[in-house]
Amino acid sequence: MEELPVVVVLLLLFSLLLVPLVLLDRRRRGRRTPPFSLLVVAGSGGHTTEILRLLSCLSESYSPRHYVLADSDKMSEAKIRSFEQKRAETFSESQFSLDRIPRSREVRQSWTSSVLTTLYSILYSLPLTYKRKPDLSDLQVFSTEEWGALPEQRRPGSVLQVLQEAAPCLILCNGPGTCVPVCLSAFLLGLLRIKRTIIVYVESICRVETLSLSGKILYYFSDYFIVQWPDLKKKYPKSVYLGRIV
Amino acid sequence: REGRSVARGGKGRRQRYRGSRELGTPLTHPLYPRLIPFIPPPPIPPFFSISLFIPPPCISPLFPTILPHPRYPLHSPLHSPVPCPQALQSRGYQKLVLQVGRSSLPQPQPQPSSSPAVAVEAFRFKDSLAEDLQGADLVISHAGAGSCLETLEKGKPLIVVINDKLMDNHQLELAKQLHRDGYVLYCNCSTLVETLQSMDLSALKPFPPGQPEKFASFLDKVFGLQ
Repeated sequence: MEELPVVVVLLLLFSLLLVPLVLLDRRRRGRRTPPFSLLVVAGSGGHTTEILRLLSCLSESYSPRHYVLADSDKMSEAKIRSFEQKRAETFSESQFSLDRIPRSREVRQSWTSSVLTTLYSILYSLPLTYKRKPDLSDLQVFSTEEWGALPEQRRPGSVLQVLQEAAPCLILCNGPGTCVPVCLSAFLLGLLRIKRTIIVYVESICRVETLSLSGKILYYFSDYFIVQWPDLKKKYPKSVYLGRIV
Repeated sequence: REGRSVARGGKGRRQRYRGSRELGTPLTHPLYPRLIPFIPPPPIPPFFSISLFIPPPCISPLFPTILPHPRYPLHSPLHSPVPCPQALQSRGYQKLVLQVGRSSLPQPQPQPSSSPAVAVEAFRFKDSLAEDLQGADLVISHAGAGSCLETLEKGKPLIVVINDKLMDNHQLELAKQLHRDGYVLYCNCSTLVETLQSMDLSALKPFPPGQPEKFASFLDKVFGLQ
């Protein structure tokens, strides 16, 4: 019986050792080959404009682009479509898709209910009664013309569904509330070794001294955390500062 | 009698349910309304979003009298009829274009005969302000990031007016930083007139454009493309 505390301590130490190993393991990734599928979390307001500007300089290797919107977002879809149409003129092979998920947090929603709604948006549609539009569910990627011809929007799906269908190599987001459930689920899928995804978070240019709520959360879950002002780089040393990139 | 009324109640309930189904809520899941309480989106503050001054010849004697919204008591000189246009006029601006959002449009005012007028045009919303921005010589805007950056990219001098009533607004951060770096002038509603009278637009620095290429090359490095 005297050895029991020793064993317990050893077990604890062992499990503590596992934590950095798991975290390091996320960093060690094999080289991937292009094209890299990209999941872009667009949000209402300036977020979409900013992220489209970032996308405008990306090469053709990042294709197809899967956009995820909150289902209450009205403006972003038009912006994304016009952006993709312009891009299709320069790159002939350009492909993209649009998906909607339930909004995880409304403006001014309280913290506790935000947690509930975020979980809800991850698990939304798990009940068997829910079906996405059947004739579209097997199609994953559409060319620009095909999306233009689609008469109806796809019904919103859960974050897990979207992640499974898009199977992105890279998630790119810049801070709308919608990106929290998406990145958290991608992180969990990576931890469980189901699907590893590189999460790149670009903090919005509006944030000079403080991070947004999504930024504060995803600082710990993103692989690359990019800030656009030097003050933030000082406060958050793990972040990457590339100058003003928007 | 009681039995009947109960039966009727039941029927009514069923009908009501069918009715709500026919109406079709945007989210089809039955749990949705219970989990997510409806929170109305915050109203757009009826603060003037962007005002532009273009100096063509005078058109009509108008003064902006934009009534403040009851929920957002504003004390902008642009909301009071006289002082702001006078300040503008003293600096040689001849036309004022206002985006007034949801506040009321300016009413025509009898013009004091002594001075030449500043012509005022107003509109509520436009899809794109690019044309107006291109034609403007000075832009007065709220601290919104989109408005500020769009204006600075066009290379126009910008005065950012802070709405003191919205102190928790994180967008102030950007405006303050831009002011610290010398790209914009910065004032609040009560000091706008003074700023207009004393401003020196030549002291403002040109705003360098952002560099999304850096981000692209960073990603390429991450993926081993370079």
